[in-house]
Amino acid sequence: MLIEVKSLYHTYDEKMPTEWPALTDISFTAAGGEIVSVVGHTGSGKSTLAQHLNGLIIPQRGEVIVDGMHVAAKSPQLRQIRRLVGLVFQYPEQQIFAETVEEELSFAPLNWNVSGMELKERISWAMELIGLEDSLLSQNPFELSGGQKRRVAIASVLAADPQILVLDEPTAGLDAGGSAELVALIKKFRRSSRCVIHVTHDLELALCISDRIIVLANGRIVSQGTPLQIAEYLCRNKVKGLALPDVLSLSFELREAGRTAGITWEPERLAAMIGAPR
Amino acid sequence: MALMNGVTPGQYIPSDSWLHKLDPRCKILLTVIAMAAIFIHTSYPAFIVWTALLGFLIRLSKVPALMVLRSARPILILVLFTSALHLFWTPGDVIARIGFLKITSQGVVMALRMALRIFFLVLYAGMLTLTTSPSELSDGLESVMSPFAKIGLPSHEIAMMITIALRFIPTLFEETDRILKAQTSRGADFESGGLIKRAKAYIPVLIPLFVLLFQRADTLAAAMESRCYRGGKGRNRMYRLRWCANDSIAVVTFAIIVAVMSFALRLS
Repeated sequence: MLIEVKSLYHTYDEKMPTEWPALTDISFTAAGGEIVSVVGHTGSGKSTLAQHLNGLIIPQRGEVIVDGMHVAAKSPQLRQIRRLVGLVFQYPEQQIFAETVEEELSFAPLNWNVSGMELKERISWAMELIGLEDSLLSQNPFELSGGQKRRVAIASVLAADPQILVLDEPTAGLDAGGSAELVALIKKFRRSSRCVIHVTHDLELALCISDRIIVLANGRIVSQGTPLQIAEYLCRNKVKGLALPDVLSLSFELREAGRTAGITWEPERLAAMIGAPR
Repeated sequence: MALMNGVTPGQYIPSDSWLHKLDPRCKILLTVIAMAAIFIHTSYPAFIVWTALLGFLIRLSKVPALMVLRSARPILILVLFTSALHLFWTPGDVIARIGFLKITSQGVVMALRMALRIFFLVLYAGMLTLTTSPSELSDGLESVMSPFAKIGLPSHEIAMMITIALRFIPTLFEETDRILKAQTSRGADFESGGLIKRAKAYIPVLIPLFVLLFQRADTLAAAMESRCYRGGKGRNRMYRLRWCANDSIAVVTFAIIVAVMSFALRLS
């Protein structure tokens, strides 16, 4: 499963005083088994890009191709694209509407005409993947804790069995424990040869979990590469709204001073690097 | 999919135009005069005058005409509904039949007039909100209503409610758009099926929307209370409104135009 974005442009409020170019010449690919993070400051175009991947926004210029299918207005394949690409919005718990968790989770599969045993299997799989117990299925989702609501909302997207999962700021508003659980979910999802596109402004998280990172600034890709390449780039180039993790800054300073051989954003690795003579 | 498309009702577009610089009380007064006149005069020559006057005001405001027109788009359904009622239920000379429904020539005229009347009302009111910031509008409304405070009208509270309502219209549209997209990405289909199926499809949008709006209202009330908001009593203001010569010129000119038009229409 491959998702391909070619020279994508998007402008909000075209020919209006409030005209705003949200995306300019965006190109990248993501394949199954990969975690690709898109990082950038608030208003850098991350969420606009995420919505293009699911066909919620149709490209004004450029192309978005999902498994060989083009995202285009009135395309008969648009629903199929939405089925393949699960999109988890920021604060997904705000989309909950059903009276029970089970009903909430069955919303997407039923929309794709999945029913009977397959529906039950999908719900169980999503609950297990997200780390929720089946006993919650009969509960009212509005009575759950904030973290549980978030997980139910994500499970409701997973229950549609997407091959590509796009997460828009999934850890926003979660405590450290909640974030760690979500990271575990992302890694678990990737293991089944599916693709995760993780949109975030949390650079540290992106460096820790990604196979590749795309850095957006003012709607343009300023850099893309492996976490190490991006760490190196960001240490040398200031990007608006992206604060370097303290460990990475320290690691860079130490390397520049000739005290370590490389850079890292992991405290344990940095400690080991400092301990080891160059 | 997108509900916003550039402008929502009640949105303010900042600019340094002559219209923007007018006192909010002046603009409120002009809007009231315009609305009253639109209600009274619904003949076709009157609509030509309203169109020309609106065009002139749009030019003065420096707000793109397309943006002003788009601000009336959300009321399209209301216009269609009202026009349909007049089209089918106005008695007169029958010119066509659709099943048990009859279309009369008088109904066609009434439907068209009603549609134009609503459009002009919304567009003129839109000129007020497009060129007046929410805080100016609140101050202006409060000032205009202040004489009624003597008979117990809570002018400050009413002005505050109107301002908050206007302030939340774009938010309401944004939230609706976001929830619509979230449910669409989960396979919800809002575009196919009959009326009942489509109405049912909106349940997953309306429930989260209401929950969210009540939460926001609750948070806003708490935030205002925590900053010791207790209504208008004993409250002073940072900026005082100033009525300038331009405001008088605008009101007098507008009143003359409306008076001349009324007189001319009556003569004709």
